[in-house]
Amino acid sequence: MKSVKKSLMERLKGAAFSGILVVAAIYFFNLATQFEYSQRGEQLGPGFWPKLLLGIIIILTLVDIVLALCKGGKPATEVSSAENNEVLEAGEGLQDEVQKRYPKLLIIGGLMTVAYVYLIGIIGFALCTFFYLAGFMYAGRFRRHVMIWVSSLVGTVFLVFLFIKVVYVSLPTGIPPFEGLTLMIYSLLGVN
Amino acid sequence: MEILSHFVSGIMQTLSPVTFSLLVIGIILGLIAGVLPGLTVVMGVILILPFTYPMDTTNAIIILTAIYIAGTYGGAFTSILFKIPGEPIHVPLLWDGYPMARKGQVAKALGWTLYAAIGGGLLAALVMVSVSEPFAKVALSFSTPEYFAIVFLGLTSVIVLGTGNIRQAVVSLALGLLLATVGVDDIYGAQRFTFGTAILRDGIDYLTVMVGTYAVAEVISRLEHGFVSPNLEQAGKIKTTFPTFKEYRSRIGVFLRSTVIGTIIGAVPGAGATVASFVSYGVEKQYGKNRDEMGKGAPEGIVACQTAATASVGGALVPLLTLGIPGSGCTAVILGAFLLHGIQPGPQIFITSPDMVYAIYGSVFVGLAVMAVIGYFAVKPLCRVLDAPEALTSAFIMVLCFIGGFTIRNNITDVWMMVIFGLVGYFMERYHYPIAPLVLGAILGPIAERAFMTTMISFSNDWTIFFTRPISGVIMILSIVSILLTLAAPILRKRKRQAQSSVGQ
Repeated sequence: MKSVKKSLMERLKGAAFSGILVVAAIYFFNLATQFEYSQRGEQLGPGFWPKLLLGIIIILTLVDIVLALCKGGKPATEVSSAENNEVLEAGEGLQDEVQKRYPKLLIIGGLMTVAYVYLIGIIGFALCTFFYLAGFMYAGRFRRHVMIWVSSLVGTVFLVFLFIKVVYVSLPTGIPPFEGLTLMIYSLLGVN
Repeated sequence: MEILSHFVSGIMQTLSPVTFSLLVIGIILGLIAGVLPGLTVVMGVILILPFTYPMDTTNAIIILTAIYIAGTYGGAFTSILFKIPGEPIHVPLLWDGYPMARKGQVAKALGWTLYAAIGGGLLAALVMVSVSEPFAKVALSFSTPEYFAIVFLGLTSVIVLGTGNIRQAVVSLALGLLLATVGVDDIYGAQRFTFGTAILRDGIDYLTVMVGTYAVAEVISRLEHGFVSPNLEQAGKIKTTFPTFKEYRSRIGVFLRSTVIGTIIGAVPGAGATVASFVSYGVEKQYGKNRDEMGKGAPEGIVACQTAATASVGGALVPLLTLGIPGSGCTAVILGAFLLHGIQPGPQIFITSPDMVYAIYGSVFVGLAVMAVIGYFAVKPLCRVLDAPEALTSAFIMVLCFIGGFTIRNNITDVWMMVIFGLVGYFMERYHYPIAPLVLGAILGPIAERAFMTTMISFSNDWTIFFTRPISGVIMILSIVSILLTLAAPILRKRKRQAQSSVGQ
C-alpha cells in the first residue's frame, strides 16, 4: 500500500510541472480570444498565431501528463542533451561532486539576486554591485576573504569606469542619500 | 571580380589599427570564453554586446564575430588536456582528443585541432564570400512564403537535430514563439498579453530571454552544485605540433566532409556549432575509413568535430547577412547588435552597405590567422584561466548579465525579466525541457509570425501556397519529412531491436 502511494506521489510529482504549464496555457488561450482589433473581412486576426501555439502546448502537455501518470516518474528522455551536459567523464570524484546539490546555496543566491535587482534602483549600481559581488562569492563557497573584498572593490570600480565613462551607459545612481554617495564615487573616478 | 575587389577592401579595412585591435581583443576573449567551462561562447558574445554600443557598427560586428570564431576553438584545449569540455561543441574531443593526449601525443592532438579549426574556418569562409552575394540576389525575389519556409526549416531543425524528448522540445519551441507575441501585434496593432503595462507593450526582447535562460540559469545551476572546481592534472609541457603533410593528405576526406557538414548545418537557422560538431563526428564514426579507430585517440575524431564546429561560423553568417535570419545563437546576438545600431541585415545590405559586409568577411579571414598565431603560442596561459575560482568569475558574469539586460532598453524591468527567465531556464533544465528551442522560438518568432500572417493576408488564407510555390514547397516538404523521420526513428529502432532479440532466441 505504501509503495503504491509512493508511486502515485512520484507520478504526480512528475506531472506537476506539466500540470502548471497546461493550466497557464489554458488561461492564456482564453486571453487570446479577447484581443481587441478591427476585424477586416476574413482575416485570421491577432489571436490566431498565439492560439495555434497555445493549442500545441495544451495538447502535448496533456499527453505528457497522461504518460507521466500512467508510466510514472520523470518524462522519458532518450539521450541526455549535449548542451545540458556540464562535464562528461571527468573522473569519478568530480562526477560525484557535480551530482551533489546544495539547495540552500540556490536559495541564498536567488534571494541575493532578487535583492540586487530590487536595491539597485535604491542604493545605486556602485554600492549594490560591490556588496553583491562579495556576497555571491561567499555564497559560492569561496573563502579567501581578502581576495573577495579586493576583487569586488576593484571589479566595481572597473565596471563603473568602463560603463559610465567609456561605454556611456547610464546605470542607476539610486535615490537620496545613496544618490549623493554614488555621485561622490563617480567624481572620485573622474566621471562627470 | 566585383566580389574580389570588395573582399580586398574588406581585408584592408580589417587591418586598420582600431579594427585590428578590436579583432585581436575579440579573439582573446573568445578563446577565454571557450576555455572556461561555465561560460559558453554565446554567453561570451552576449556579455560583450553592451560594450559595443558606442562602437562603429562594423567594429561592433567584427569583435563579436571574432569572439564567436575563437570560442569554437578555445574549448578544445581543456577537452584535450584536462578532459573538461570548455564548450558543448568540444564534447566529442573527449572521445579522441583526450585519449590521444593520454598516449603522450598532446602536441599532435593540439596540432590537429588547430589545423582543423583554421582549415575548416577558411574553407567555409571562402564559401561564405562566394555564395552570399549571388544568394542575396536570389533572396531579393523571395516573398513571405519563402521566408516562412526557411524559418520553419530552422524551427524544425532545432527539434530534429537536438536530442531528448521531442514533445518537450516542441513545447519549449512553442513557448519561445509565444514569448515573441507579447506586445503590440505588427499587423493588426492589437495589444497582446500586455496586461496594461507599458514595458510589456514594447514586447519581450529576445536578448533578455537568451541572457536569462542561458547565462543566468547556468550560473545559478552551477551555484546549486557548489561551483565544483576540477582538480587539474599536471599537463606537463604543453606545445602544439602540426601534422605532417602525409598525415594531412590521408585525412583530406574527413576534412572536406566535415567542412561541408559544418557549413551546411551552420547555415540552417537554429542549428549551430554544437550540432555541426556532433553530426560530423557521428557521420565519421558511421561511414569514415578509419571508423574502427575512432574513440581511441584517432585524429579523425578531432578533425571531424573541430572542422565542422569552426566551419559552422561561415555557414551561420550567410543566412544572417543575406536574409536577416540568424543561423545560430551567436549570430542571433550579432543580429541584435545590428538592430541596436539601426541596421536590418538582409539581401538589401549588399546594396546599401557592401563595405561593411565585406569588412566582416575580411575579419573572418584575418581573425582565423590571428587565432592560429595566438592558439599556437598561448595554450598554456589560456589554460591558466581555469585556475580562477569559479565563484569569482560567476559573480562577475552575473553582474555583466545585469548590465547587459539593463542596457537593452535602459529599463530595470528588463533585468527583472532576465532574472525570471533565469529561473524559467533553471526549472526547464530540472524538468528536462530543452532550452535551445525556447530561445530560438523567441528569436525567430517575430519573423515566423510576420511571414505567416502576411502570407495569409496576401493569399486569402490559402495555406497551400507554402507548398505550391517551388522554393517554399521544397523547403516545407524537407522540413516535414525530417520531422516524420525523427518521429519514426525510435519506432524503427525498437522494431530492429525486437527483430534482433527474436533472431538471438
